[in-house]
Amino acid sequence: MSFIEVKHVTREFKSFRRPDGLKNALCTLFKRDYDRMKAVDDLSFSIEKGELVGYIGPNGAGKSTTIKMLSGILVPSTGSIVTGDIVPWEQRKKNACNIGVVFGQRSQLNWDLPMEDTFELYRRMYHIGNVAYKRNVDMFVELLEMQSFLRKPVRQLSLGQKMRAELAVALLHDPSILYLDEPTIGLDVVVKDNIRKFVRSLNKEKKTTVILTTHDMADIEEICNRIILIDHGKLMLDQTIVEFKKQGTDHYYVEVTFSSNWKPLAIPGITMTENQPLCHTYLVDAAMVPFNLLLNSIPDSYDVTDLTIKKPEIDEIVRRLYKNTGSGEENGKLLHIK
Amino acid sequence: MIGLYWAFARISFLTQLEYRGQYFMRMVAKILGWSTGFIMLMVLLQKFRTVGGWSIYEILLLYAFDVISYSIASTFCMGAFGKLPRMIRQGELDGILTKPVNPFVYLVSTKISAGYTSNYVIALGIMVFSLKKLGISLNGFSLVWLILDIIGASFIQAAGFMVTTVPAFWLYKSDGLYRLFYKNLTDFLKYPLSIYHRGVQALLTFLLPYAFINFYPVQYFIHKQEGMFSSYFQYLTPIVGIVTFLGAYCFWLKGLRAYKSTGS
Repeated sequence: MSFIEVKHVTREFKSFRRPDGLKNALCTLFKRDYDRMKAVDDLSFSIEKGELVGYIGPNGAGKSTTIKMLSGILVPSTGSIVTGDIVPWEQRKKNACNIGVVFGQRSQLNWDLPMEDTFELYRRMYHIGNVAYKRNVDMFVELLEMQSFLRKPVRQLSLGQKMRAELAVALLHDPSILYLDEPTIGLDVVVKDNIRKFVRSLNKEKKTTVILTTHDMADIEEICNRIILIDHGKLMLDQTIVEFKKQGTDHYYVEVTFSSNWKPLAIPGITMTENQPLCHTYLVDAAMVPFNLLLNSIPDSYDVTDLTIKKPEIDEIVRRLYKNTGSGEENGKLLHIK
Repeated sequence: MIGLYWAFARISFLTQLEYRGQYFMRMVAKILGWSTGFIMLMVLLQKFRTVGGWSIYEILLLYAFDVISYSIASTFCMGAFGKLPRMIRQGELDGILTKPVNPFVYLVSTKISAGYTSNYVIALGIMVFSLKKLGISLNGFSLVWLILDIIGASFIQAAGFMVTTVPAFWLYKSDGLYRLFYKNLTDFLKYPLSIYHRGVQALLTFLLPYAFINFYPVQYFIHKQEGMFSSYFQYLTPIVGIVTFLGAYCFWLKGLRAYKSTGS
């Protein structure tokens, strides 16, 4: 059995239909029509120890709901979840000792305490031994560059400092699973980079299993080695990052910077996507256009000053997938590429 | 484990003292609030001398029981359960449920209130004053009994908060329930239960046992028997307190299981 096992999990929410108009709204006081909405719909996957999984999907796809079921906050309507031999919502306390959770949009820190005191509280809450405690605090303070704000009350910290503090606090007890729910939301590039590197090195040193939801594909690219995509609560795709990126290799971009241009590039399988003064970008179908032909025909049309070849980023592949899933079942089915 | 919760409570307490302005403002507001209630009562009693056969000091003793148990229950539970509906709507319980702690004790200890000091002073003052005027002297046993009664009464008050706010797990807002089944009904406690209609007496004894907060236990101290369903009721406050509190705790556990969190 895998370390984390999710089997046929469904979670329903009931929400009542809100009609327009005051009169209808008054009627809802007495009679209501309920919609049953499946936030998560027959979802199954399994994750091995030490994996770094990017858990993505459009807004409202059911990501947070899944994380909440995995961490024991919500009980699924049907289906089973086992994380490291524990059913999270049944043995909530025991599960809590195994996991670290960071919700990017919700702080868990006490606003009036400095980080040092919060660390001390967590040491007592999780019964962390002195040696492990000291080692972890030293390690986190160094890796997350927290020295400068350890003594300040949390309410005076910047968003980036707070997020690093959240991470440190969630990991103090050496959890074997780390759930990150949009950990880099609203952060600047430097802090984002700091956090990504930290998560990677943590996984390397402690074999921590990480499940990460995010809308920033650079997070996925730099942290994860596997990607799970869901939409409308259903599993759409479950692949390693390498496989995932292969989907982009049938197309690539060529960006030509030039000083003069005497005729357009006309080869079947090439389309211009951007037309800027002194810089044209083409989308190239790799199967149709031999690379040599492309390279040879560019000088016929341009006086080239610079040439860049770009593969599609994860970002773009995902955008394509989201667009497809958005337009309904029909297209959704195409996506079961597994 | 108790040490941990104590540490949480200490921090929460000290933090409130840190915001000095807020602390003193709340205190003044509470003193004014309770004093007006007290003055109204005094004016009324000056005019009528007795209410339903109860003298002015007996009624003050009722008032003291109510205020003191309300203050104890509020110190521990008002912060936690007063804010519960909002915490449920905004998904703030998530953080608590991912920690290896008892959610109830954690909530209580982190939301403990330092704002009821003035209430204690007022309520104890009124209690000592009215006991003295009634010529009741407390010996060892009756002092212990008084304390047990106050603890039981506080448990009933706390159960009252809990039972009327926990439905927020299903309804998201429960202010209406709280007003109707707690605030409005405990207003009856200002005067002796015996002056009300039999139906009200039964409601406050059997269904929502608020009468055990002050009416029945006070009867023990002033040796009054009228308006009772059974003469044993005057001894029952500590037990009723524990039973209702346990019931409320089970209800809370049920609510927790139904917790739906919010999207984000």
